[in-house]
Amino acid sequence: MTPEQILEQCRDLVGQPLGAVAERWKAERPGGRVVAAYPVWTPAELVHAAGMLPLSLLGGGTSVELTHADARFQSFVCSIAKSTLELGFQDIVKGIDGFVFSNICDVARNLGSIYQRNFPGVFVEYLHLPQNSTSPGVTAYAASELRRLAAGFETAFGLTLTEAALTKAIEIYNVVRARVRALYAFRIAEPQKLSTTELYVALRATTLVPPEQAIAWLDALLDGLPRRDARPRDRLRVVIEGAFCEQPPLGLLEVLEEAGCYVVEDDLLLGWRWFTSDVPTDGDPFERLGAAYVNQSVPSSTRHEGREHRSAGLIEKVRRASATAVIFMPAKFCEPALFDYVLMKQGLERAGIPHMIVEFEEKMWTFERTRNEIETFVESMLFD
Amino acid sequence: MVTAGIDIGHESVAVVLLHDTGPLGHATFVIAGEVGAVARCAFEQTLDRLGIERASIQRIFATGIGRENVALADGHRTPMLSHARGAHWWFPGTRTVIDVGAEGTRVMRCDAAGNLTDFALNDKCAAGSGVFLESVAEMLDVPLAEMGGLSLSGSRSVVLTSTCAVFAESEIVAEIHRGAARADILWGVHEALVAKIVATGRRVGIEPDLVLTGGVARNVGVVQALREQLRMDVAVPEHPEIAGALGAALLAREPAGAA
Repeated sequence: MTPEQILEQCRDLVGQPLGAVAERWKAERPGGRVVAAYPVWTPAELVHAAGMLPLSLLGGGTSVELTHADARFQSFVCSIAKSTLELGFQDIVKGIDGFVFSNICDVARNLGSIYQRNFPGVFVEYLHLPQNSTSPGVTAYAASELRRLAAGFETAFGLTLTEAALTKAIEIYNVVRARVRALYAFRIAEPQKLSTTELYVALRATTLVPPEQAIAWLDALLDGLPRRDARPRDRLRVVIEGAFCEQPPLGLLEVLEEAGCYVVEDDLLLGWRWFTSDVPTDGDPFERLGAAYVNQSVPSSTRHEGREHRSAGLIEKVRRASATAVIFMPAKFCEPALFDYVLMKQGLERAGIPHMIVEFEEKMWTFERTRNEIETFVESMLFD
Repeated sequence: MVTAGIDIGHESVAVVLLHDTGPLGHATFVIAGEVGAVARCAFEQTLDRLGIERASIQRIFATGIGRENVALADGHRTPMLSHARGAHWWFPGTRTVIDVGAEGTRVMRCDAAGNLTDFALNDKCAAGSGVFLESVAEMLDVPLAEMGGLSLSGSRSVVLTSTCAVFAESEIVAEIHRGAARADILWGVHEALVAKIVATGRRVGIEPDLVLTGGVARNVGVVQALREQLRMDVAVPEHPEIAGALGAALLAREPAGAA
């Protein structure tokens, strides 16, 4: 298949209701289970090792009107939390057997409980990920949380999750992540051949299919994209930072490029490419996965690092991608992103890296103001 | 070299023709119809008025809203960059430019060379823009051009607390019913509008020299309120509504000004 054909498939899949994606997969596998993972990181390996399909749970995007969630959340709560709850009330996630949330922020912490209370018929688990990377017991703690999640799957669904199966799952997700890293490296080298919208749609589609299918798509893209005919343009190379949980509308990503940017790095769908290198597969896989969370995670506003300044990872990302500037793109009311914004902004200013901020909401539908701001930002650097 | 700048605003279009030595002339027109056609019509009428041949214009840049739709332009630039360049040309010491147009407020910071270094736009809100003043002028039955002067004679007894244009209108109605003088209400309106503008400006910092551009700069009440709230002198060009078009014409003659 050509990259265009794959991207068309991906776009079609991403546009489908999550419940329909789950039901279709289950129709081919009687007795199969599907577990949806709320951002940022959920160990898809565990879901896969239990013979289930992990899906990304990323809110309602532009397609869901809030008719229930607004009555249950305050007005200052981010859109993804509200629309994720709305998906449940409107039966859009019907067919999904389990939901996993984690302690990325106060809203997400409570969203898990709200789901449990409102939808008692489905399995809901809340993962307490470690927040202290320097504690001597942190790796053991992370592994114990993963074991607890695995035990929850076993009890809820009457299945067995073996260490051997988890090791195999880690191996296959290592392959997925390596392919994604290669695709990101390709975009850094030749951004004119892979737009951000295309990369995003492809990556998001890989979070809706088994890893084997994801690898097939990513391999075909890596094979076909270099043959695309596209000349580099005089554009500003930028890194997007802050959209790691709630996802921006595709129109906003398109506007970024139309306004004169090449997005060469981003933190979109960050949890699905969470590790900087392969997770080791020797020894106890729970220990290995837990240790990887502590020591091999990408920098994120939802994981307290404590060993280096918050801006260090971003500055390294800018340099590695040969970017010129950073566009902070936090979702409205996203506390982790907005708290970190101050620290990262100060770090960038010390390093002499220009930046700007564009807040978004998943249901944003008019982009003219943003286009104006980004064009001005680009012009201020290209035409000085 | 002769260049042209065309600034498409929400309510008007401005055209500036620029020679190496300075502006050859300018004109402004009320917008009616499709942007591309309006721009062409305004450009041609400006040429006619000034008696200049189309062939003598080497480069045309468009700015403002719908700038991409000006087919006759050789390139386009954003309003923020254009206003910064225009203001800096008039006042070389400019470090901050505040542009208050019909539907938006923009605050631009620039360096000694007139390069844009930072900027902020008002939020999706009419309270800091010209249409707010227009609606108040209508409510109080005062010609728009006379609002500023009349407000300066106000007693400063009216304070509008609302930061929303819709709610501010409700407050104005209440003041009318209370029997407040029009001049007092107008001063309160200008104070409220300027508070909104200043809040936008403080996101990027407001440093002297400060230049006010856009049609609202013709309102002396707004200028005075701005001076008082910022405790800073405010320079206003003779033709503040053409700052964007002038900036676009200046950008059109820069070597890096590829389309």
